[in-house]
Amino acid sequence: MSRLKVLTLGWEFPPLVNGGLGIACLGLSKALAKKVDLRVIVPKADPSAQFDGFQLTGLNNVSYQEVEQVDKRYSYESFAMVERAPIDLDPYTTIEGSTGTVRFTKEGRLTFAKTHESDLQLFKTKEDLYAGDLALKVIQFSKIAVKVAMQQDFDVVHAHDWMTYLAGVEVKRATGKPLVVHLHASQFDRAGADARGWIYDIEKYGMEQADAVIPVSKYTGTIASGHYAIDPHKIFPIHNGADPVEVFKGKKKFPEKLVLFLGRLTAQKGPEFFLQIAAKVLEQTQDVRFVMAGTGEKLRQLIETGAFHGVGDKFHFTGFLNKAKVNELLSITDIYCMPSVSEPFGLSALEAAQFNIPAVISKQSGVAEVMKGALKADFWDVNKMAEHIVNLSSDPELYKRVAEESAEDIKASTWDAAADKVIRVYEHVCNR
Amino acid sequence: MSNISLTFIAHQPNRLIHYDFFKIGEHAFYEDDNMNARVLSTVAERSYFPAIRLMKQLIELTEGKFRFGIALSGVILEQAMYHRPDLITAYKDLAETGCVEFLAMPYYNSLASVYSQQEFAEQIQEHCELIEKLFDVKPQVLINTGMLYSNAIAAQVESLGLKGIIADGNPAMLKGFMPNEVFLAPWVYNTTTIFRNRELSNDLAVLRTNPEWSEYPLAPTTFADWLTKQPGSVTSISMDFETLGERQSDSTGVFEFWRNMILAAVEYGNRFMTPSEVVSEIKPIAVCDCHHETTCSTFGTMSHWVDNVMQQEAISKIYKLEKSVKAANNKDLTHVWRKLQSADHFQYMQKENSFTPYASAFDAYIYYMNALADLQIRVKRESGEA
Repeated sequence: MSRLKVLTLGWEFPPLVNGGLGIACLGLSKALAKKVDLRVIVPKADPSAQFDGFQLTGLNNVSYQEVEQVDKRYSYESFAMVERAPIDLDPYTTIEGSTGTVRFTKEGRLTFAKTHESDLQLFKTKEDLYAGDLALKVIQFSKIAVKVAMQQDFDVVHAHDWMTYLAGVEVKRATGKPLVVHLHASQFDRAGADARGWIYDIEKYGMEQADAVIPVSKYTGTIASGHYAIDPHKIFPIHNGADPVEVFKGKKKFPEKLVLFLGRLTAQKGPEFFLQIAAKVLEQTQDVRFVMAGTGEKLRQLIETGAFHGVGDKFHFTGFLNKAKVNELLSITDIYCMPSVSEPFGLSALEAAQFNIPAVISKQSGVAEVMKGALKADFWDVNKMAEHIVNLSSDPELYKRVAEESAEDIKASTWDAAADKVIRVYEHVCNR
Repeated sequence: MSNISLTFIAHQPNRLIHYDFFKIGEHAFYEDDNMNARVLSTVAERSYFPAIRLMKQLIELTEGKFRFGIALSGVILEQAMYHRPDLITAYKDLAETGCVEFLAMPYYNSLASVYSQQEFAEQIQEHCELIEKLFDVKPQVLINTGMLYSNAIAAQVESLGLKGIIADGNPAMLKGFMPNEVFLAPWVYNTTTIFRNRELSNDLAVLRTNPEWSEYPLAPTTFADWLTKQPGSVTSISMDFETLGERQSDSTGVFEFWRNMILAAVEYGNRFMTPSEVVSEIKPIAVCDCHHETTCSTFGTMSHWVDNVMQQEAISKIYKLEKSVKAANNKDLTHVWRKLQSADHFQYMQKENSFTPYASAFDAYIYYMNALADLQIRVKRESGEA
């Protein structure tokens, strides 16, 4: 059997955009490239970045002529007339802005919308991918990416998160190739169970049109089926892998055990719960210090809540930290705590495990399925979470056991293992 | 003709470095020494030196008829000893005129009068010792941090043997108050309370440079005239020394104004008195009741120090450390702890504060709490608990 040819549509991609989505896409792409022919299209790519085994195309490096010639060659039945409101949106916050709606109507045979040079310019600026009019960028990406895609030869198209779903559907319509959509995070995680709006609509539409949906965990799979009403038979949860990191042990400069929260300070990550957990723990022992690393819309509110709880001398805010500082912090951390309200996966808990740090994680996280040895509780059960932390900090036997089991758990969490499962999904949708 | 008692307060805070989490347990110096030295030098050049020169000149010109009181915090004196010893020399010159009274203060510009009686007593003693060492005079009258005052504080000051305390004459906070008189606090007999004339003090410290003010531009002779016509036994005027040259820059004519105003006031036959002279010569006319703490701030309360939860936690945590710091019995550690008591730290945590070296009240709080955490660890180590 010849190698599968895969066209991947991504949004973030290192080294230019370093969000969690980008890191996952890169990890998976590198592993997939060993076994399939892979081409990745993203809005922005570093033209100097070279990747082993696959080709990365950023629309910022695509010439107008390349796109223009497609305009004349193809016409197809377009999926949609997209009505949109210009919306400022950062997918990492819960605020969606004004309520635009996306309506999907079949309007007969349409040719490609003409691409203008200015449309391409959208991806050539220095502006952050999520800044400005994100809705416009998503739609332009869909229109242009499909034209770039048309010039490729592939068996299956694989789209990562809602920003690329429209493009994925567009490609499927134009080529008839099967579509696989990857669900790294949903609007349910970001904005809660009542989230509705155009992002939700796009997510739902993308998953409905797809031949297979790959959520990053069983937990996220239940959101796809339960919250988006996607047919469970086409949902194939596949856990992320974790790239090995260089692990070192730092020297802590204070006697207390260090409990770490790492992440954006948004409702989804449950930072308020971490604060409450800390307050509970400090009621029972003074031998613990807490660090909340990261920044976000809730930072100031959290600082004041900490002061209100009177834990300010034992609960420290670092603000944003770069990777080196994060690793420095991990190297002195004793317990990792991830009380996320809804966490599709939760790579950071695996990274912590690589540092041999036992974790206390919420049951509402994908990584809980992988880290069988980690101590778990519902995100709202601060008493249980606090109990776990107190136990870990006072019981060396337990500490050792949880750390060892986590080390065992992460051995299986490789991108190669994830890639093998993804390929089986490709084969399934291609009937091979 | 009136009796006029003029007092100045000079203080500079010890601003903290951006003391982040990674410094805890490792970095034992919290203060931004460079910045503190730089600010002190700038303010000294713009304000302290020219103001001291002017005051000395006025004393000479009036042959000692012009006299006043000045309160120098222990913190600013320490900064000056390290970074600008010439400033100490200048104050010594002033002291030699015999016309300047040096007032007592809580050494660290702290809120100890409210949060720890023991600390309050010790910080005043430490301050008095420093003043005596530097200027060879023993302070008799106290001016508390931000003119913080209450019945209870007056009673404490009496127990410390001080003859007087200067507070803000804010009618809204006081029962039985009349302007330009001196009082006793309830059940206090040996310590006189001098209330500053809030209105006249603010005219000079705040309104003089405000073009919107109905009296703008205020002529020095007009103000001297107002002083002359004041009713009552003594008119007490009090403000930050930095008003001269820093808050009101040289270009506003502040030095010229003060020179002419003082000379006119003397010429009109008014008598300048130091706070000690007021206390020993003028009889309290009544008991004035001040149940709640009052200050010279805009609202007359402690709100600028204690309003939000960050301030409240910081204050409660720093004073909570008292017992273990004292148990550790280490002079340096005690000094570091006391410097963190300075009210300035809490004022920087005020959200509306625009006079702050930090990016926000939240940053001020975080750096402070991290430094405090480090101090806690040191205290614990020192006392052998760790």
